[in-house]
Amino acid sequence: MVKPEIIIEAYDADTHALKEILAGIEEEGVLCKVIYEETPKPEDVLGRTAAGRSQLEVGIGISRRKAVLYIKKMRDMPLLETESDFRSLGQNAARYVKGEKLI
Amino acid sequence: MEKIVAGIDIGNSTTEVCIAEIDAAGNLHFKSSSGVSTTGTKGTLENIKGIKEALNLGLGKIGKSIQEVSRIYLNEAAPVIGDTAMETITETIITDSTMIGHDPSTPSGEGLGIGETLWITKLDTAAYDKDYIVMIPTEIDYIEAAKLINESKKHITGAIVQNDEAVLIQNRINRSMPIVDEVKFIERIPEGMPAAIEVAGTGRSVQSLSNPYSIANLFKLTHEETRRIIPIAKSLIGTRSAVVVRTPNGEVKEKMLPAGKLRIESENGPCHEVAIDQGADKIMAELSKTPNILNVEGDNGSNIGNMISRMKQDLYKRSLSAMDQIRIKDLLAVDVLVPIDVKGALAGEVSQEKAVAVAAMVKAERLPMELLAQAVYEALGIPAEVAGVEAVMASLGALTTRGSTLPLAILDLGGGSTDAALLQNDGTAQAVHLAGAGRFITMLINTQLNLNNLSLAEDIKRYPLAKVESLFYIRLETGEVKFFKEPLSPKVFGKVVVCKEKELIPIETKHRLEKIAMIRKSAKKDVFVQNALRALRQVAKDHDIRTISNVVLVGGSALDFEIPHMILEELSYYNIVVGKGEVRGTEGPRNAVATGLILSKVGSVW
Repeated sequence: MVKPEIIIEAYDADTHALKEILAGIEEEGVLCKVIYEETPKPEDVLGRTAAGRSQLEVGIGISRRKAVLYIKKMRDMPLLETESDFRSLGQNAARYVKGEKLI
Repeated sequence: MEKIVAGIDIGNSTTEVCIAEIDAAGNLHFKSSSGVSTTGTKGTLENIKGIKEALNLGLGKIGKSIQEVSRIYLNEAAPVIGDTAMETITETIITDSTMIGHDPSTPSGEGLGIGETLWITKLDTAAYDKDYIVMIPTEIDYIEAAKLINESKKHITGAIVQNDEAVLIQNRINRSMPIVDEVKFIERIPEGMPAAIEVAGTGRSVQSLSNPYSIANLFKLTHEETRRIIPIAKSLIGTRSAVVVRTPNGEVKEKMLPAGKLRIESENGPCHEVAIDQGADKIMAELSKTPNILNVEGDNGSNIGNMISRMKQDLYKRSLSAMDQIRIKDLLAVDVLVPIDVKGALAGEVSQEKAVAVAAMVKAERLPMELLAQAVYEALGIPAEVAGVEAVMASLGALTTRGSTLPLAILDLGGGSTDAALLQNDGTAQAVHLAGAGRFITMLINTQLNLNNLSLAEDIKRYPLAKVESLFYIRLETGEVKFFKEPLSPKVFGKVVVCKEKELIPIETKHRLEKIAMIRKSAKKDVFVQNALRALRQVAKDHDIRTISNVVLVGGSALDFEIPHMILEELSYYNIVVGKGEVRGTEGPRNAVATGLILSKVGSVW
């Protein structure tokens, strides 16, 4: 069974950034799964693929210190992107899933 | 050969124009109409700008110019001006930090914890035989906080966290306890004081800390002390989590502000006095006992006294009457609960304070309409005359509504006042002007939702609400779902919005959609349903509403999407035909006075 998870695809992700994203999602009480990508890919590609794989249709792509939040229905551009406030990105991904206002 | 004439109605909020052609035989053809915002206070020379604008707008629609107009008829505007004010009668002050009641979106744990407050860094030196509630400042992150709690052998019964990390900490500790987070001013909480912390179960609100006797039991309070903590319990009602800290000197006070009395002077008969803190119902009951109100005054130095003198001062500036001629002829009071930021609060708590909102209507001497007519003539070069009393003209205009007949009552639901008139078969009319109308509703919405934004309050009044449930659809308050082809802005996602024409305006409060809708509806009911009954009672024969057979609603607020229904529902008990006007079959409830002005002059144009 596919679990209702936010999928995070990471390539060479900054440890702190990834940890913050996960903390943000956890604080909001939503499940998530990290897929570590071996081949270099830009964060946009990672984010889009992640959103496509997520049963919640929400994915995060992170490459080094650049993170983007994608939703499956909007492939052309990320819903949010950040290079610093990773906790909020994670929280907002979860809040999007819950239908709560973003912060 | 036809002559073009224009009827112009200058109201408190809008200036409306009706343009018609009349031929020599007296055949009347309505051509066009328009409305713009009134410039300046009605009845003053500043109105000319708006008049010109409205005329140009109306004439533009039929390709004519101002020079082709042969006559202008102005209404004899009722010299009434409305104003509103509000005064709170209770105030909550926290003199020392004793309470935190707030709604972080994600507290964690469930249940009640009691213990002494302690900074988490001092766990080492704490006693073994005591219960503690640890305070975790922003410098200690969730990993370290969880580690400190896990390694400690002390009895920890709960935690207060400055960051938004309650769930993160809960997931990493080896015991379960209530944790409240997002406490902004954590450093203001005194250390070493008995405290209680409660997190409600899913879908519930706090049960113990919102019950005065539970608090008394937890902190072993005497009867007198229990009385004093009622404001705390009251302000914690409905929150998902709460903290109460007992400090020896700390106190939460509910201060009763000295509420004054209103003195209602009548033309014949005794003065009535009524204390404001008895509430709006009592005030309105006293007012209705007084048939011809001469003036209303408030105690000097009291809140209501200051409010009334401020109102009079304001109206003095706006009207042209001398100060001592300004008399309050009518008053509409409404009880409200106003969320006010608690002084000394630790996490932006608000407390619901009791207040009375008042709309007052001031009658001045005759407005200088003749002067205005003269000025219109000079400015536009078209003969202008004051053609008739507003209430009669409105009735005449309203009579063009198909299905209505004489004797006809109209309710003019305006911005500044609610007017009613009863037009008899013989053409005589009786009119009343009451305080409280559209702008009062806006003010009630603004204060009860703590918006501090009148234009948003106005939008909430006029348009339906919706919840943005997804980036692609919204759910309206009726339950209906509306889809969008293009994704909505993340800025409105998850929020309650006002659906204004093509725009979605977010309402940045914590209030739920149902609460906002309820406040909007009750404001409309309190003002217009109450005023409709009051007004009709005053113009009806023997003050019996049942003697009126049909009522036509006109004026700007009759365009509202729910006010006419509310009045219809209420009046249906009295067996009255009531509905929104269809002036000339084309104008809806608008343009009644301007239309009436022309109708009254058909015979005298040639």
